[in-house]
Amino acid sequence: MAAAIAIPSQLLWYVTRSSGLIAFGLITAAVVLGVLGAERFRTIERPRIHYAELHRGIALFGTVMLAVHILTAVVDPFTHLGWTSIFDPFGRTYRPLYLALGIAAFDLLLAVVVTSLLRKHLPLTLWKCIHFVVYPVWVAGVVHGLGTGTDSKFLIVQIFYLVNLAIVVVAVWARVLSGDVGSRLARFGLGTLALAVPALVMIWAYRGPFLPSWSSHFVSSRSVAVSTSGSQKQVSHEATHEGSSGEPNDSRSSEGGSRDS
Amino acid sequence: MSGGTRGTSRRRLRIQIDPIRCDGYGYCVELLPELLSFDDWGYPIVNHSELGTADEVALAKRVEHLCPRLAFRVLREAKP
Ligand code: SF4
Repeated sequence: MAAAIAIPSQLLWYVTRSSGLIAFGLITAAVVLGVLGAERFRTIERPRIHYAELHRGIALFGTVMLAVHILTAVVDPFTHLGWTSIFDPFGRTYRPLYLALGIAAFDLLLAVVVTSLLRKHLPLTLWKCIHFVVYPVWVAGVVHGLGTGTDSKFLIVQIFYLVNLAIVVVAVWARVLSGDVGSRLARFGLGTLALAVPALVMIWAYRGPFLPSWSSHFVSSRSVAVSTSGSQKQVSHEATHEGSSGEPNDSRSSEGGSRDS
Repeated sequence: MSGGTRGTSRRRLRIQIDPIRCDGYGYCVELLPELLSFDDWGYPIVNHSELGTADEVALAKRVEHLCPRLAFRVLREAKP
């Protein structure tokens, strides 16, 4: 009986992790198409409206993937998330800051999607302003993925994040250099931001989530809360999930973390 | 708007471009070359504003959805 429950939960956990990464990749692709779409593809034979439709299609697909990511995380009994957590970023116990960033990013993204679907009926500037929220949302998504994700210690996943970051930086710079965006000052500011923010994220990532010891932080800080609430379940959940990522190293480091506290 | 029949037979659909908003992205000309053409500066000129076939209507709706400046509109007007 216990095994029968454990297997689907394990499966849910795999789906949560993979759909999160896929959603991130898709949203990155949509962002790049959106950024470059404003850049006019004058030389390209293909009708440019196809890029606009591709942008929309990929963005919607990414949103669906994100929904899968969130639903499987909520349904997974080990996460103790509950349905309200989809719209309430506060008060999570598992890696609260990075989870809150993910939840807030999803809610804002939902606003972007909804206003885009209703675009025809809205003032242009309103739609546009809300659309720009995607930039901070995307950055929040990166930090959420790196900080919450148990896969951030794997080289292949790190490369995935680095490539995604690099592509967006290149796309933003291509647009900034094309002179499409406002004044020169605005362009300079945007270009600097587009370099500074990813650089900061990378520095943080190399000092945090990319290290194999990253997950032990949370176990040590959380086990206090767990012992006061007296719930043993959450400890075993952490062990199961960390263990399922196949890193023997991890369970050792989390044990060390628990002993510290 | 008169809430009459849903069929298009009673209504004429036509397109309208707000030249002040339009930024010349050209999506509309790409999809509706029979009705529109580019002027010398790459902005669209409306040669025919009436949408005849169902295909044209579908294409025009696609443009309306994606026109980056919301300058392109499909308007309905009752048949006189
Ligand atoms: S799609 Fe819209 S912005 Fe682009 S040329 Fe046509 S009317 Fe102008």
